[in-house]
Amino acid sequence: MWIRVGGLLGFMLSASLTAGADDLAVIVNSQSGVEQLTKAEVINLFLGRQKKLPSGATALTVDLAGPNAEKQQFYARLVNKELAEINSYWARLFFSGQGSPPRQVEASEEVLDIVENNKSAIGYVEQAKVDSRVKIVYILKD
Amino acid sequence: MDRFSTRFFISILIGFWFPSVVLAEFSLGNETLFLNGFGTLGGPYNFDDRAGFIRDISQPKGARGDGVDWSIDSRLGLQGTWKPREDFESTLQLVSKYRYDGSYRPEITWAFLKYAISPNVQIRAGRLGADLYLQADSRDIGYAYLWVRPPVDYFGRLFASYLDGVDFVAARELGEGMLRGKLYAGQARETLPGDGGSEYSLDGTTVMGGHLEYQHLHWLVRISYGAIRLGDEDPLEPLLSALQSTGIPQASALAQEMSLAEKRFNFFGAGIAYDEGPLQSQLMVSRLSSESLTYPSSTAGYLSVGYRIGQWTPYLVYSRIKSEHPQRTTGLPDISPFDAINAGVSQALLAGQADQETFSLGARYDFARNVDFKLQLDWIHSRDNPSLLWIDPESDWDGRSAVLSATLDFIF
Repeated sequence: MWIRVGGLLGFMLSASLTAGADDLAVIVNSQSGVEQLTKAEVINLFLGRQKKLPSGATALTVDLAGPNAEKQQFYARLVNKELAEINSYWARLFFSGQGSPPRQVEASEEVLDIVENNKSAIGYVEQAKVDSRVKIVYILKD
Repeated sequence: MDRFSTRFFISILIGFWFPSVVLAEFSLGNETLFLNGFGTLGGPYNFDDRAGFIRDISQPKGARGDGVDWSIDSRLGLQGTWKPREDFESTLQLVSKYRYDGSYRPEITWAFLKYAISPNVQIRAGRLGADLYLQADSRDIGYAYLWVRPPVDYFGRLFASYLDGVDFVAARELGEGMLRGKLYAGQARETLPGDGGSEYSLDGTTVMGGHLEYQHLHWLVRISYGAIRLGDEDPLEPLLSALQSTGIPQASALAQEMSLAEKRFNFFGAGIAYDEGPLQSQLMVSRLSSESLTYPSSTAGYLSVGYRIGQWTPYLVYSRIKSEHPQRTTGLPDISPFDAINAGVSQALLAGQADQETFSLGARYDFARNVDFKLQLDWIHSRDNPSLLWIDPESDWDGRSAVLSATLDFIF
């Protein structure tokens, strides 16, 4: 019993430590012509209010699919919203023909691939996963 | 167990069963064709059996005692979207819900082509949701809002949910926020139920308008204007002809004032929403000015505040509508055959009035992905009997009703 409880506690601790240590980086293509974004700009882009990047191109926003810890952290830190609220927000816009939610992909590796290969793409990954293929334009700290 | 509690028990059971259903992902990959949908299952139980509670004036019968009325809020929508290019999109949406004729025959609620002239400038043509108020074009998507249904005092009097026409939206960055303007014009196509099984077609009705809104992080401010001109059908036709044919100037003048054919209505609306983390609040007011005594001018508004606590979001809503109450007489003596005309006129004038307030308390429970459960209690006080917003109230109804509603909303 002790071991089980201890194991669970340890798991919870390490989970919360991991979450704390990982800042989320908003990334764009290195040729996008975008150097930096403000938090307001990131909000406007990911909530579909602003449809173009500062460079003028139509933004291709890339999001993680489904219940996902990184996705949940991203929206919690960006707008302090639960994923259910984000889905509810998009349901209104999508079913009234006002726009589609960001493209949903399964893994961070896919986000990096799309951003690397598309000049107008914008996504987010844990900062530790960012490599030289993409450019960081905003950091969402814990 | 009586019928009410049996049905209520079943809806709770469905609520527990739902998490195990594998729901299709509400997401759009890089495909060009998408099929999605939304729905609501549930409804109100009106503790009062003396007046029929409706969601809006498109519904021919209301909830009055006798168990949960599944017709009022339940609906199912399917949407197909074809997006071959980033600047072009085509959407078709079908919704099955309780209609003016008492059926659930699916209707095409959206069918449009959209072209983006530039990323923030778009034009759409085809069948479009009527966007007279904030959220008026998404009233069927229960999952998109906190309440069981949009506040009846505010949205219940709207008589068109879609238009065949065009709209134009342009947005630009202003400070940290976005400034957005929309213009639209189109023809209404729906049919409304009238007294005693009669129907009123909106064919030939034109609607045009627009709004300007500014959205800054947590704030949204919108002002809107809409102008409606009804078609040439008049639901009161036999009565108006009878008034005219008397040859009495006062009666003829009244027939003209009561007529709906080709009359104009102007909508002015203003709203502000503040949505910050767990807090969601909205304050909306609107004024409808009318040229017809049969659907008199009115002012309506609501205040809604919700606060998320974990998966639960309790909310409070206060809403209010007050119409003008035209007091007119025909000038005809109350003897046969004129007494029937006098009675018809007085009934028609009363049917369009509304003076009502509602206090609602509810909670939305986001218990599973893309599914929510809602429970809401409304205390309604109608100072009018009859009223635009109630079906066949009994003459001794005191205008006070409590309505308890439970719904399950989903998207896929």
